[in-house]
Amino acid sequence: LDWILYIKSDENKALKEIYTLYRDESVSWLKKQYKLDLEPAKEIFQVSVIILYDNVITGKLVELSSSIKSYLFAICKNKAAEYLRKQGKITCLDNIPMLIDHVIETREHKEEIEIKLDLVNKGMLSLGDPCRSILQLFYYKSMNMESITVLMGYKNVNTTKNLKYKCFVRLQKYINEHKG
Amino acid sequence: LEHEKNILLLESYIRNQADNLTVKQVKSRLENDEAFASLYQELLGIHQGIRLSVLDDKLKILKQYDKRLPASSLKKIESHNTSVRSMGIKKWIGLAASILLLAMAGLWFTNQESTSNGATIFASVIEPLEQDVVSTIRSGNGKETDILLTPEEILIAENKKKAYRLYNAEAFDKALPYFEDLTKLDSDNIHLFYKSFCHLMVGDIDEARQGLYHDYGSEIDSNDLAYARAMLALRESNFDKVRSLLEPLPDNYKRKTLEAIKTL
Repeated sequence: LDWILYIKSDENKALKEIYTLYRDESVSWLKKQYKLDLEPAKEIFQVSVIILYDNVITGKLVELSSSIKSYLFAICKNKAAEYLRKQGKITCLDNIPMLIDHVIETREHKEEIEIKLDLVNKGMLSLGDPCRSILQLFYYKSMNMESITVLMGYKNVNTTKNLKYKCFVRLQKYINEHKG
Repeated sequence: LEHEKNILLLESYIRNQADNLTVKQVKSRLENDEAFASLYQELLGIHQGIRLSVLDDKLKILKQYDKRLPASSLKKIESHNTSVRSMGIKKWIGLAASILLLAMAGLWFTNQESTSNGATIFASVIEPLEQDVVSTIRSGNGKETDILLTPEEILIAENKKKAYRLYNAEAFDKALPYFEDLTKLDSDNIHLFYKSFCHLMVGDIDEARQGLYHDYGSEIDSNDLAYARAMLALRESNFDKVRSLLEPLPDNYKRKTLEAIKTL
């Protein structure tokens, strides 16, 4: 099974399959190796599946040189080590900080960037659909306007372009209104 | 309109879709036009933020999905270690039981009260593992950049997985070749310890002795090691040695021994 292709073509189904296949084993392993409680172990596993997904979509992972399981466990390993280093700073029931750490590629002005990213994330939540989906498809999936038009069922590309710009401005407005 | 144009221009630049001339123009404006440069930084931040929002969405999907999965298997994990540990030792205890009864009968601890907690005789000695990348933890350098395992690490992980699974299934003879390979592939001496137990289980006393009397330093818990050596001495019917090895050990080792004997 080509997991990378599977994730790209049917992401939710693929992620659920990976999750079902490896949840118990990974959680058990994390608990034992890092002396973690069940909940943090599970959250580390969940974040690791998401990072695997992100690595596929962003093109960081184009080919697996080992099994998907080994790759996933390696991410779990790093995330668990990171979690232990920061224990006390992270709230166990909120694994967004672990995702933010993954998204931020620089260590400079990290706290400032964290706040901004969190704000954008909240702004995206407040936008709702279709804005949220259009911006995600364009900025994250790097889809072009034609593809988004077809996917979202709009009349023509201009409609999509206009809508996308309006959504962007709404997001920008939210960020400017809510930044400290 | 200017704002929209600037956004489109910067987006094509960020997405590497701009032609060479446009790239030059954008670079020049980024150096000289403060508002344009500020918009660029803002766009980059929004890019990252949107990425985070997608990942956050996916995380929520997984969390929802998790609620639909049977929780029973995860609950089992909570009590997993104890139950698995108890599997591998019954056979051993069976083999040693008669000798053990004789050896223990006159010893000093037979009158001690049993404080059963469900633990088994080897609970602190043998800890079967069911994961496949243990070695990367033990020898890991902690670098976040090392996402993928090396081929050697994968080989070790695969061997380890097979060895422990066979061990847990009490197929000690089949587990032995994997432990053998592990002792060659990985410097972690825990493999030698497990291998020696397997030898003991299959009655290969000389090999077991050689392994159990290896200088482990602090790699193996000293009580566990002493206990394992005591079990070897039992197989050799060397009761004085059994006594001398068990005497300094904490009471729980002795109690566990008695409990195990009583269950047989």
